[in-house]
Amino acid sequence: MSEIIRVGMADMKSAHAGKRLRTTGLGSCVGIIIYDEKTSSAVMAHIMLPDSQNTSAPVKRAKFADTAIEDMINYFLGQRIPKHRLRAKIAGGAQMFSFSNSDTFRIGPRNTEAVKQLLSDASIRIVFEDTGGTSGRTIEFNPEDQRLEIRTVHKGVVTA
Amino acid sequence: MSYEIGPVELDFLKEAGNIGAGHAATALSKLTGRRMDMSVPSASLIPFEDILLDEEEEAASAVVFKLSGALTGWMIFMLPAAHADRLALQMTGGTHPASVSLMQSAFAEAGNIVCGAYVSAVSDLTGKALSLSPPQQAADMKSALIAEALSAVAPEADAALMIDACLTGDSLSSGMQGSLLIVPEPGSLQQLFPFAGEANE
Repeated sequence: MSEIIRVGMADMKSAHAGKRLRTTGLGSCVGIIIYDEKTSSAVMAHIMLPDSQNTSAPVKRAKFADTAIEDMINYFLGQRIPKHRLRAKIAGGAQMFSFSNSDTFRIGPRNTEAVKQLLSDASIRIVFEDTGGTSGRTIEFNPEDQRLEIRTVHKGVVTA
Repeated sequence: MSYEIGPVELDFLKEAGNIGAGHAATALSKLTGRRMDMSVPSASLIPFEDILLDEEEEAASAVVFKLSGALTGWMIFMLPAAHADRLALQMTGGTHPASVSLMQSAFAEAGNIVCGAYVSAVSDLTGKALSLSPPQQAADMKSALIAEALSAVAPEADAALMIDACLTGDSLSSGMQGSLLIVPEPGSLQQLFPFAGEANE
């Protein structure tokens, strides 16, 4: 069994072949994996919100889709991996509660949209996504074969 | 980090938890017709990155409320799914599971009792008014349920208040290990404890 690197909420970690990246508790949050097949280099982020623009607090960059994706891309550029080689897999963005007149619990769909838009703006192809619905997810990515394992309470394990 | 409260305030919140737990246990005992006890062994502030680092894929049932008044934010009462079902079963007085919606509604009511008792205790101790929204119920992976409440205050906050709650009863083969999670909006805890800084110096 290869070592598992745990990615917390509002957190971001990188790994190469021989280690795996894992994050748990994706409700409305979105797990983003950006990787390079050639070097088996991968980064996983667990973002909670779409946009860092409207916050007055000091920005924790991995908490927001925009700043997290920017940092992820810069990580690869720093390793001299060109952007055109990058691919993405995403999961999460569920809506678990339905407070009828509260926008706060519609974050899931907004997170998913923001992540897809940002990746598309950066010309990074999304090769797989499992988003939406009403169930929480735990995901695990293996940089070696680029397989993503998605676990939910109700539907068991899916591998993509 | 916007939660500048110290050990004195945490102790206070834990104590309020114990008082609230006493009231909640009494109310639950009456409803189920069985003796129940509830205690709060700990209260702590945990940064977001550390909250989900335990293995928390277990299925849980949660009831969520919006807090308003002297303390604003979100409050969650959570039990492992099997414990929640057992509690709901005792509340409906059945021996086998009733309809799903009845079980959910019974569990939501249990959450209402527990959180309502906690909020009243804080209110009594501080002399300030606090109130709860109607409950929202969901059953899913524990970590995802927690993350969900955190994202509601996430733009400005980086930590949450975790209060453990142990529910035990003479008729239960084992105790129910629940948790109360309060995710205050930034600045809200200081409002509740305007002298927090001084007390800790």
